[in-house]
Amino acid sequence: MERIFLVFGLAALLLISPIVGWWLRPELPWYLPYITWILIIILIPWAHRRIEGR
Amino acid sequence: MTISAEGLFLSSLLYLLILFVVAFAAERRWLSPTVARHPLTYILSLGVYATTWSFYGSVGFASTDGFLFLAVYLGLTLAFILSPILMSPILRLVREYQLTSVADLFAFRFKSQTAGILVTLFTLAGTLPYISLQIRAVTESARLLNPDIPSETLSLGFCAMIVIFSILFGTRHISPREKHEGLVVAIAFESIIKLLALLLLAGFSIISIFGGLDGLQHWLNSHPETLHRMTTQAHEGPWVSILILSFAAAFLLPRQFHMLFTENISPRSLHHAAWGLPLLLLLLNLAIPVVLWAAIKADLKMPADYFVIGLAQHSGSVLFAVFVFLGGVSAASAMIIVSTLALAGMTVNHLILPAIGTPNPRMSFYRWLQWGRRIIIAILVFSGYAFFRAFATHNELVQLGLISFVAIAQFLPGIVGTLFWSGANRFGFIAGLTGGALTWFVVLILPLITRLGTPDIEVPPTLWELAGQDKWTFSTLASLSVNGVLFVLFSVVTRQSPAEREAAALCAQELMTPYRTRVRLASPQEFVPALANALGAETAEFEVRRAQRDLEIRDEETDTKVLGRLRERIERNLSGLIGPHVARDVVNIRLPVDRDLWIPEAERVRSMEETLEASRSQLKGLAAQLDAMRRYHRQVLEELPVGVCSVSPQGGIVSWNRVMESVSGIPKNSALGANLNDLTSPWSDLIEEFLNSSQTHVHKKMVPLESGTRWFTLSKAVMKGPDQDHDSPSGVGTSVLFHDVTEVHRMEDQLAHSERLASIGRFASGVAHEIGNPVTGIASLAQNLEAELSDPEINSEIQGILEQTYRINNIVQTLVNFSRRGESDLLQTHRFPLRPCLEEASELVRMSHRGKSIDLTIDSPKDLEIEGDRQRVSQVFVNILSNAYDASEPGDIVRIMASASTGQVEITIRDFGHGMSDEISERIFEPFMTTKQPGEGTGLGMALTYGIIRDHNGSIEVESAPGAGTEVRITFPAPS
Repeated sequence: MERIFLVFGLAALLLISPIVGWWLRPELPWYLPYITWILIIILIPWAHRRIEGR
Repeated sequence: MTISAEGLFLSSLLYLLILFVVAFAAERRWLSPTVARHPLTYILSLGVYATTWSFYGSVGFASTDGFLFLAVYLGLTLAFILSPILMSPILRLVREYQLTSVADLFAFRFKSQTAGILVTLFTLAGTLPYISLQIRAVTESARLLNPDIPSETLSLGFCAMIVIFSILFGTRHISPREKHEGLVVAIAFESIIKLLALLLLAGFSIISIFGGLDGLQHWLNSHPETLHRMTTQAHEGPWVSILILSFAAAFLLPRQFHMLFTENISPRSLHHAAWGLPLLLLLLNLAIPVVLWAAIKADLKMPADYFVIGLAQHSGSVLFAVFVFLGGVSAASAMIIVSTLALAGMTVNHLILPAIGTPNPRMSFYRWLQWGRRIIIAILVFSGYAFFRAFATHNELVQLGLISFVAIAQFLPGIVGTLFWSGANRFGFIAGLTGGALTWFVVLILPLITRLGTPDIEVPPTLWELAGQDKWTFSTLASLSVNGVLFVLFSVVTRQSPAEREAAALCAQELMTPYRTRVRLASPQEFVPALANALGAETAEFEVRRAQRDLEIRDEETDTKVLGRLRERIERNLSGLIGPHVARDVVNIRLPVDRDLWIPEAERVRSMEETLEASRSQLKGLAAQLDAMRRYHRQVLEELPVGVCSVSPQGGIVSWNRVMESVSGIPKNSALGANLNDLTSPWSDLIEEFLNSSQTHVHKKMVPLESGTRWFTLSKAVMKGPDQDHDSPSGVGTSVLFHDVTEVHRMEDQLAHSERLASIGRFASGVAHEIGNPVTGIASLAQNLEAELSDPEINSEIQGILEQTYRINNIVQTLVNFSRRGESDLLQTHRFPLRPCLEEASELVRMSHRGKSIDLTIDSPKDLEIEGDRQRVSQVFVNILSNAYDASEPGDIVRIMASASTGQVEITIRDFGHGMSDEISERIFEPFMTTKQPGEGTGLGMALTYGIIRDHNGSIEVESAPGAGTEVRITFPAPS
């Protein structure tokens, strides 16, 4: 369960906090929001691994 | 480029035909069932989240609000990160209690029909604009391809096709246990079409409009304001509110709930969907900015909402344009089909059935339900069409989508209460939802109605304008705040009903299994006519049989406890058909429980324990600690060195610990749950007799078992319930303790035997002394007479006297030896080799039985030694071998085997003579016990042997059977 909260916290930090302004800047590559998104998606199976085992 | 109306119609028809074939092939199992059950199909079917709002509207959203459109999918990603906490428990409840919609879930949790009605009405209100949005998107995109197509005909034709598909493939089965595999595969197929259409369009944009990825980058570099607008608009927009709205929509939208939970075939697929669905949506959305920028570069003159179809048209390829159009059709049709299916179930279960009740029992209930849902589907689709004609032309696609999202978000407080707050109650839920719905109506719907028909009318500032916030932030936060505050406030100041308390505990996993009841009916056959009054004979028969099959209950079953489980199962199965509240009403009225026969606490404890064992990994916090404590106490009970069994007042075995298993030979699994009468003999009579007796303690109860007789000391204690007086004679059960005292009993026997021997020894010593002296005198006098007299006749008689005195002396000497046997200080112990001792004893016996030819073998290692008084040990062997010789016939075999094992030396003397009965065997060590003829033995040999062996701290066991010979096993401690 800890992993889920860790990944959720990390995702919330990236998506809800002022950090959004860091990856949503015009001077950065346009596809950066998608890279941020896919990083979160990659972490989901890791966060759920132990739960799946049950 | 214009596409002919016929071409567009035919291609749409062909697409829907393919969709029908795909669904039909899955339904008929022409497609392997593994396709429908594959996690990828499940993920693709969840792509129903992406409607025309995503397909067309996202580009329009991106053009006005930049990357804000991504928040609609990022919120869903956040929800799926928490899927094990949010969605898995809902899936568990849906599967376990046969719930089919979010209205069912709330009606089940809050045990309130009002809650179900409110949720259904509000979902209908929130979803109809969304359905109209789909119809509008298909109609307008078709009109872009051919402006001459009459929009009314087109939209009505589209609606008719959707109704036909939904009726054919969405309502084939009434019970949620039977999944619509055809529907699931068809919706997955539609996801593939819309994904392909968007990715191909993005590919076309990059290659044909920008001339490759470098061209795209170059165009962006030369138009920095485009990217600047995309990022800054996202910042300034309602980013967080849309994240919250899409978080809720991810699993609470009717179509999402239906595909995620109701049509879920394998719970494990949810784990795959947690990353698979966000990934699918990422791929879909990857195309959005590219299409937007390509449309800007291509300078398309149309609303940005339709850049997707415009760009496809711009390609000049009719085929491509039609394919992209079909992508839009697939997005719209999937949403309408699944949403109306979900809404139809909710409407029938929570609006129609409570209003008009169950149909006439003479009518087929299943057919009634099926057609009821079909008619509702048609009404809903055409209501969406009517809404489209009345409202939708005045709003952008995104506006309508978000209105729906804000409506659905009103279920969030209820879901939190359902899963995590068992104190929440129906008053709180109803008040919160009503408050949130009113806020939603006032903030979002009222302004829409005000502008109805007069889009240019001067309207007063809206509430969000007055608050200085954007529309979505204000509407989301205001409605959810009102909802949440009322929910908590009313839950705190009002009380839960007992049924609601139980449902709350079940939902929050504080209670693993519902409290079970006993039913007032006598057998499953009586269930059918009872239910037939409400459901009709055919449905009642089918439902009772189905529940019987589920639980493997026979027609002859009469146990009211088992019938209670059957009743519970019927209620669950009916819940899937008619909703939890109506199902509960039907079952409560038709299959009444016997309040006097509540399942006793003790048996409920066992049931709870079973469920706790199965759900251990799901427990957390205080529950996990309490479970750890329960396990500790359970372990103490299990490991107790005495047998413990608990019996409920009705005679059900509730606990049966490890020692009970070992002494009774009855496995725990067989004993638990069984009735006392079901136990094998002698346990059932033994326990029952003890429970019925007034004694609380029985000392040394003899229990004949197959393995031999054992002795138990029994104790019992009546267990009191928490609210029972300590002095009350009745309780929730009785615990019986079985203390195995067989070994103690045997030791006591041995002690008594030794005591007896000692007392006989003292007596023998006295007798030897008192008889020995006169006999010696008689012998001396007889010898004197023999010397003095020469009469041969008299001398012969004197010889007789002397022989008798020798015989008396022998007996006296044996008595003296026997009496001295316990004087251990007289023992002259030392180590000596065993084999020579055995050989000497054998030789002595052989000599004394000269007339008998016995085959005597000695099998003893030469180096085997024992420690003791050699002479006395030799006496032991002589005594035993003498008996063996006496019992054997000439030519028989007598074997002596000696071996050393851990800490002891074991000597076995085996003969194959006439043996002894059990009665004699048991008394063989008693003094003066003999089976020989008078004068042939004193009966002291084995008693003396026993004594000598005990003096050497050894043991002796005799095993004999008439006709089978005798085996004597002697053990001595190994020399130190």
